[in-house]
Amino acid sequence: MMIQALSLKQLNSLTLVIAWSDGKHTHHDVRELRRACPCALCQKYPPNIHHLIARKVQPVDISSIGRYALRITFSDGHRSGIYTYESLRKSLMT
Amino acid sequence: MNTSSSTFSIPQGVTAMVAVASGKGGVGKSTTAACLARELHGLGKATGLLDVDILGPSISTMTSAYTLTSQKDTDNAVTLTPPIIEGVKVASAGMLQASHKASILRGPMASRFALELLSSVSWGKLDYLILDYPPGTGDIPLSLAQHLTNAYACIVTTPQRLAYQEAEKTIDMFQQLSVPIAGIIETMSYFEPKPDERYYLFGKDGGKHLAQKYSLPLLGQIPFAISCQKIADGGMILKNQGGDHLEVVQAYRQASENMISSMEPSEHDPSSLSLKWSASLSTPP
Ligand SMILES: Nc1ncnc2c1ncn2[C@@H]1O[C@H](COP(=O)(O)OP(=O)(O)OP(=O)(O)O)[C@@H](O)[C@H]1O
Ligand SMILES: [Mg+2]
Ligand SMILES: [Zn+2]
Repeated sequence: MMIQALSLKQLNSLTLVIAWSDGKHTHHDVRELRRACPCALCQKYPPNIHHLIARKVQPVDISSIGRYALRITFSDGHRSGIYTYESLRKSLMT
Repeated sequence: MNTSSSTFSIPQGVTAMVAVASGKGGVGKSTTAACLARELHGLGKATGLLDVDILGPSISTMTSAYTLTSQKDTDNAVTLTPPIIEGVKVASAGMLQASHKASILRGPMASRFALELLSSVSWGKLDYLILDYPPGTGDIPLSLAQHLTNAYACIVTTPQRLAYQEAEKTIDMFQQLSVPIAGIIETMSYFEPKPDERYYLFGKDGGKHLAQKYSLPLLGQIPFAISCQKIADGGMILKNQGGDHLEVVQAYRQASENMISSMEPSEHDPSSLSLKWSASLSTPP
């Protein structure tokens, strides 16, 4: 079985904490998640971090897709990014 | 019909679309799309089947002798009524007469044509609309995927190395476009002429390895059945034919159940997570 997310927690207004099935935790800056949105549009035209900060963009809702990814709906209405567990785990290595 | 907007969202009344896609051609996409549609219907889901493989439509050959009836409304927009075959609403470009094709085709692009077809059919209320998708990652599959917001993908591969390596490119394409993947179906996984005698004609577990590599659910491994070929050619894939087709039907029934639970995680499913973000928590220093 692959490593899966077990729970999601909001630490403060900017930080998402994911607990994983192997006991590890990862911390994610939600504006960084929005900036690095993996959808095709954002990959082509990456959102400007200063705009995101000025507009106080943050998540509204986070939910899992199947057993492999999260979908985040942001306050700017954007929700097309699919954050695979694999990509979210990468922040463990940094 | 909306021709100005560049995104076609899900047709009204359709809860979820699933693009049945593959890397390579000939791996059993159309068979899978038709069988999933039939089994979803059998599981009580209102289901439609649309062939968007415009350049090589096979659903209409598989479902021979049915036509889409078309009406023009007052502002000359075309509405197509799909035939209902074994409980499934079916539409394919191959079902259109040339004159109707011309009236739907507004641009030269096949992907455009597929989207026009999708939005011209009166689907009514559907739980699932299954799309028989063109193979590969060329212009047509790519631009279709860009337009199909709210769709899921289901990846079909045989166990062969070449097939699943090509399937990886298709998975990458959907993930790049943030189209969620409901899972992987491995077709022609083994041939079982009698119980306890299995032959792995095209290698073993290629689809399973692919699923593990991408942390995707393996929805099913479908046995090779001689009847499949006969049925496809005979035009009645949507009918259960008995014989060794029974095992194929059972495998697709299981795959459909797995697909439903992958796409509709229940609240009791421990793998289903959700979090409402609170705007009022403290800001870190
Ligand atoms: N489980 C199976 N056992 C045996 N033959 C099968 C099975 N599934 C599909 N086939 C056969 O394999 C051939 C290709 O299947 P199908 O047309 O469904 O593939 P496809 O991926 O849609 O192909 P194309 O890329 O040409 O559209 C057909 O002759 C079909 O009858
Ligand atoms: Mg086909
Ligand atoms: Zn995005």
